[in-house]
Amino acid sequence: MNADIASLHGRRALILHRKDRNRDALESQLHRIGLDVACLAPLSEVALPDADVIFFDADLGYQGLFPWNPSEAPVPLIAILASEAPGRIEWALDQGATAWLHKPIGSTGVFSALAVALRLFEERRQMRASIADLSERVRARPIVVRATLAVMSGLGVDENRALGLLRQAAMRERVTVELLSVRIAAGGALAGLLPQEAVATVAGRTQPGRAQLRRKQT
Amino acid sequence: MAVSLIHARPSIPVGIVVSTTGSYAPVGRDMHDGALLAIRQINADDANPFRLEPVAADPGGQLETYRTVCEEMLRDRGIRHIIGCYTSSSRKEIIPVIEKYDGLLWYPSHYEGFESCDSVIYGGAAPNQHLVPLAGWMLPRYGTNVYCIGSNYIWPWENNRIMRQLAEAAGGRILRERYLPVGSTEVGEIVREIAAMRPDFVFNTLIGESSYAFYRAYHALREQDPEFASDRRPVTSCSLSEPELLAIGGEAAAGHLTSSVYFQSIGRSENAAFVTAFRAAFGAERVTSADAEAGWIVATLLARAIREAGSSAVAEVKRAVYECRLEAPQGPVRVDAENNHAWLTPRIGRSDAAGGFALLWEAETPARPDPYLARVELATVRTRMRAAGARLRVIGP
Repeated sequence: MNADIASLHGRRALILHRKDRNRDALESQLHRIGLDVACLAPLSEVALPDADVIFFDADLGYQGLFPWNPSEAPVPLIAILASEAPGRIEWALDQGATAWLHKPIGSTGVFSALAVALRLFEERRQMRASIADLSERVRARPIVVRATLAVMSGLGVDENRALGLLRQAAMRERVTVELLSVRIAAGGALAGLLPQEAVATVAGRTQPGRAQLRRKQT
Repeated sequence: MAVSLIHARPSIPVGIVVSTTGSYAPVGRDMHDGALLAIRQINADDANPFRLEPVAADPGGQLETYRTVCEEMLRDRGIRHIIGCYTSSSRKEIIPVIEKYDGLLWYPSHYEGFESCDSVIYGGAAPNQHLVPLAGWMLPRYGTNVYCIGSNYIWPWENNRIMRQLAEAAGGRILRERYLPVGSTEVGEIVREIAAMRPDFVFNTLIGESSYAFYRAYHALREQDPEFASDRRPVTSCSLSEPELLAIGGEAAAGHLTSSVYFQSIGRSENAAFVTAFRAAFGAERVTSADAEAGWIVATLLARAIREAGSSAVAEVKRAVYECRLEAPQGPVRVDAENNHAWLTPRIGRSDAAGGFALLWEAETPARPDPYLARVELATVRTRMRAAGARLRVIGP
């Protein structure tokens, strides 16, 4: 769901709560804000309809209410609570709730809960993506080290220069440094690493490994 | 309606909203009768410059009805003080109404805690007054491998969560946590599992018929296998009460441990008077319970506070109630000004076949209510375990 709270019109909210004054108040408030609203209760085995944001009764929720793994909610979740018992709060957090509404539900609080849920859901999504990416890089670190060493010895450059060449080449080929490193570690040619201008620059300087570098380029 | 006390014994209406029909009717009846007894005693005492007029409503266990009857009392009848609710869901349902009309709810039940509302006086035990003492009694003496069985709603869920924390802090664990739908008596599989797992003790938070069926089935198990005798692997709870022992019936009711702030067997003159008056009012066959006593406590506190305040206005009654010191059947009771919960005396009792409890332990002084368990030190549990360690090794097999 778009995290922009200024574009809520037409978004679909799903309320999982028995029909009572709280649900009525929430439903009418969501209509006022501009969302389309569907309600479902009692919470049963039926498949959940598609929604952009889900409000759920955390007092009565049970394991397996949602068809996804805990913390893998595909849309922002907002818990509706009367009880502040820690077990209930924990359960709601485990489901991935990012905002809360306390009963009795009135005309205030619904909009800020929506805003907070959307924002935190988006931040959490981005953070997860970035953690996944970083984890991948950490896992590939030994390969990058091996590739760097191969470049250093193969082209006669120092570590910084070797890393720089890897990065530039990865950018040119539109792959990650890690993927390129896998290729090099698997015996891929080093020649393609060097752009023409780099050859010129490197060749024009007197530095250790220059002769070797030139020899490799020819 | 604030009633001024200038005229001779004006009548102050008091709502009593408990379910005397429906799935937890016996508890509702006890709370109702305890409150009614107190009101009759207050009205019979000419020293009180007012009378309380009980206005009872039975929501039949239906949440929506709790709200509508309370709304009607507060809005249309000018009632400001309501004694009522057993389940937390019903209490949560009416609190907004109580707040809206500036009323005061006198809540006569123990519950799972984690609430402190300005418009509620909590007359029953918070978990630090029954659950924590139960764990403190059981874990060092019987062992730390616990089997939890409960009805599928918030009171058992929350109690089991706390029991898990305490057992784990003591180096033990919850072997299994099982739930039955409210009203279900399908306990066979659970008892078979307990027989196989051999927990050090069972923590039971089933309610009503489910609980009675479980006690009967567990009794059959311990008759078969001495490993499950009540001095080896007892069933424990924070709610088993005297009327329920009669409902379970006979030997199956005996040998279970309950943590409660009240037992009919408490040897205080105030309790003897309470039991006598209760039976005179409602029948010689009746037994008193924690629920009946809590009903009596909140109604008596309400009357004392009105008398001290010289008014039934909520703000003045609340100010006055914090100053009240009540010699209740269970012991001295007062309301904590910080969180509106009562100071109550924890006890452990063992049930017998005659429908009563033998007292095994009682706290020397009333325990300060701690509804958020903010002052429970898990380290204390560990210390108790160590202190009990040597003794356990001596008597161990």
